[in-house]
Amino acid sequence: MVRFENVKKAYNDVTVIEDLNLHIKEGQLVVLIGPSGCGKTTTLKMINRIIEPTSGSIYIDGEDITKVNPVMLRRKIGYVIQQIGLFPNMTIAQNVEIIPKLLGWPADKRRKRTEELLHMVDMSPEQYADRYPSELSGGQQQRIGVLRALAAEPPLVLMDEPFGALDPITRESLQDEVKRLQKKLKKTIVFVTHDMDEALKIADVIVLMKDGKIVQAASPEELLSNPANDFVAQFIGKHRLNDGLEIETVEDVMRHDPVTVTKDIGTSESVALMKRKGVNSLLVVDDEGRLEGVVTVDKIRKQGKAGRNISELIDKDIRTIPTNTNAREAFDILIEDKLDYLAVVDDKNKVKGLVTKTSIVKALAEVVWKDNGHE
Amino acid sequence: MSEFFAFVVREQDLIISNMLRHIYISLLAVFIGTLIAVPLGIWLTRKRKIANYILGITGIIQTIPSLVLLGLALIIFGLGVKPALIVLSLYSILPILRNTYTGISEVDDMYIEAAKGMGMKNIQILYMVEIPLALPVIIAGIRISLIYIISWATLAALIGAGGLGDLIWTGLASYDKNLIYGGAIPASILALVVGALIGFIQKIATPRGLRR
Amino acid sequence: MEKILITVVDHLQIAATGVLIAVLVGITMGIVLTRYKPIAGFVMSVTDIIQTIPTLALLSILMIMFGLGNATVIIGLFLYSLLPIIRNTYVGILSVDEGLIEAGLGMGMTKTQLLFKVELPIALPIILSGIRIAFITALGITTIGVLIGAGGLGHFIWRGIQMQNTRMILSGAIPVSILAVGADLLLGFLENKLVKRAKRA
Ligand SMILES: Nc1ncnc2c1ncn2[C@@H]1O[C@H](COP(=O)(O)OP(=O)(O)OP(=O)(O)O)[C@@H](O)[C@H]1O
Ligand SMILES: [Mg+2]
Repeated sequence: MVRFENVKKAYNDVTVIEDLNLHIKEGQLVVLIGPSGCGKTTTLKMINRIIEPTSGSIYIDGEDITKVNPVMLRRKIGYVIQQIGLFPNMTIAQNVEIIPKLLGWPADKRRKRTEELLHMVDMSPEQYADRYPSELSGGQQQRIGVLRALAAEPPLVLMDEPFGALDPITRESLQDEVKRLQKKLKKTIVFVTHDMDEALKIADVIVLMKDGKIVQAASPEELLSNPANDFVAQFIGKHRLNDGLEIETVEDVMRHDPVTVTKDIGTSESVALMKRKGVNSLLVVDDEGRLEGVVTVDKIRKQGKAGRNISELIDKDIRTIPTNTNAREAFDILIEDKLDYLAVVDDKNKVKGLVTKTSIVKALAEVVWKDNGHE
Repeated sequence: MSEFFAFVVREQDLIISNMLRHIYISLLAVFIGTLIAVPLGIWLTRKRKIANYILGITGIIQTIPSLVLLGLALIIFGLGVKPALIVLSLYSILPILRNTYTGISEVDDMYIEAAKGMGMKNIQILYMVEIPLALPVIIAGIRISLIYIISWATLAALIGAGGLGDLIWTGLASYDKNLIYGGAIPASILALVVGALIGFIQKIATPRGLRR
Repeated sequence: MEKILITVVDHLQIAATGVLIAVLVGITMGIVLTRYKPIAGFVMSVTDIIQTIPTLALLSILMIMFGLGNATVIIGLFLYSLLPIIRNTYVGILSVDEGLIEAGLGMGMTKTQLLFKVELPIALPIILSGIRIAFITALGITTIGVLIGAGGLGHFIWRGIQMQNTRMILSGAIPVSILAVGADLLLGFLENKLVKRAKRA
């Protein structure tokens, strides 16, 4: 699908990509990962000619991309930029429909496509199609960013740290969605991240880069079991220390960093925080970190007054479990009561963590994938 | 005051015709100014080096007192409506040019990159992304310009442009309060109404997603 | 020549007096408004309306109220200068980082100390930029003052226009333009220096 042959990129005298050779096969989700400044974004942007290589060639389906008009080339490649970049002057539907419109699709076909896409990420068109990006949470905006890239059914999609600015919970659910969409729609995806968790979770192939060079390109399993050198081993370090990990209590399966606020925070501040973290609710705690309840974006929107704090909007009816709860038990509660999350508290009612379905799955996966070759 | 009302009733034709002329001159000048300034401003965003020079020069011109420019216009073009229109149009370019340039320049790079990545042509990026996002700022420039020009047009009467300024300075010359009020009050109302009107247009022209 | 120099001084004096009064009143009002934010919008709208009124219209109405002469022009300059000064003071003080204010309060500063030691110094470049705008505008308005019987360089320009005398026009136009451009550069330079100093701190 995409082939890099001896690609080099230099700015003036500084070489940022050195002799890159890489073959991305059709239908694969390839993750580019590496320390900041190693050339991930540069590599990605050379594929749609936002950046031109200094030397070497890139082929898409066997065709040298320098022979293709960049405008035509890009219309067949979906592109999700890191800062989302939804056009604030256009509605969600208009944003999603841009490329189909440029391609001359008739209006009803465009509309149908938009609705289909919105359904795919569980956002009802009636509710969201005519909203503006500023009226969506961060996580919802990133979903739309992905949909916009998928709208014209490009066979190839490029994503540059698309979930960088999100909180872990929303992030995981979006990763799940991308993986699902990729499998379902059989897309080739090139995905940039600097988060190894993310890479291990979604990649078919992980390309680990350093200083403009590929250090190792392999499947997650291969990378974990056969790191090419010390740098790779170090980079994936913590994922190899899973020996003897056992899951007993919720402490083993919860996230340890939930987003909490105190109740004197202003309504608009908390909406801004939710937006930034891409969540719809915040756990409210007192000065000692004891759980007081939860505040949701809906409630603030409906009843909140600007300039007031959230104290009157706190929902005290929130399901909590103690830290020594059996993990299995927590899982059953989640499933049976159809909850999105459970707050984990200690005997003084202090918030210790948050259990979600994804956090459990992740913990399980770590146990299953534990690697015996290390230490 | 009642004396003034009597004057207004008696001289309403005079006041109205001068007011219409004032409106006509101001609108025409700003219209011409906009036609020049907006494309020029857009072009300058593509030529950053030239832009610095031109905006520097326009910045200097903007500090020069209006009466000076009108005096120079008289020297170069002589008395009459035409010289007045030329100076007013030229002057009206300045705020619109600056705002167009700033408005387009301040469109966040990420939108441009997203648009490029989608396969938009440069011209499509311009009219689908850059201009809509910069529109509120551009219109704000037109508003500033129009308010300035309505003010300047009262002075342009001094070099024969006519309009409400004629009433004011004939009034000043003969110390006729009624004539002064008859020019000054409509001119003030005109400026305020036009300012409010364009402020309103600016609100409407701002896409909902950009309103705060 | 000597006459021109005298007129230049005259011109500067008129413009500076008007702006100076506006600086004293405007900065005070700007500070007060940051403490009474609800009325800030109202006060700004009023000053905004004053600015919208055509210069010649405002000056000639003031002339009817206060008579011919320099004093009337100074009143007009004061009114026109209020908006940029009040607004920039207000915006400047509000732009001070909350963290700095908390730090100041945490160090035990009183509100007054906070104002003079933290808020005003940080807002200074923005306030100065307001003063610059006001002063440049004032130099221009002062030239119009001749029409309501005040002194200043407008005198030559106006006489020149009446007599269609190029020399006469230029003998007013050139010095006043130099004044305006010079003042703009000088005040802009000061402003830059302050900004740079603030950045270094
Ligand atoms: N326009 C440019 N001019 C000069 N150097 C550049 C330019 N763009 C990028 N670079 C350099 O190229 C190198 C690779 O940049 P790139 O953006 O690809 O890094 P990255 O791997 O995406 O990093 P990050 O994780 O921080 O996004 C960096 O050292 C960067 O400083
Ligand atoms: Mg990058």
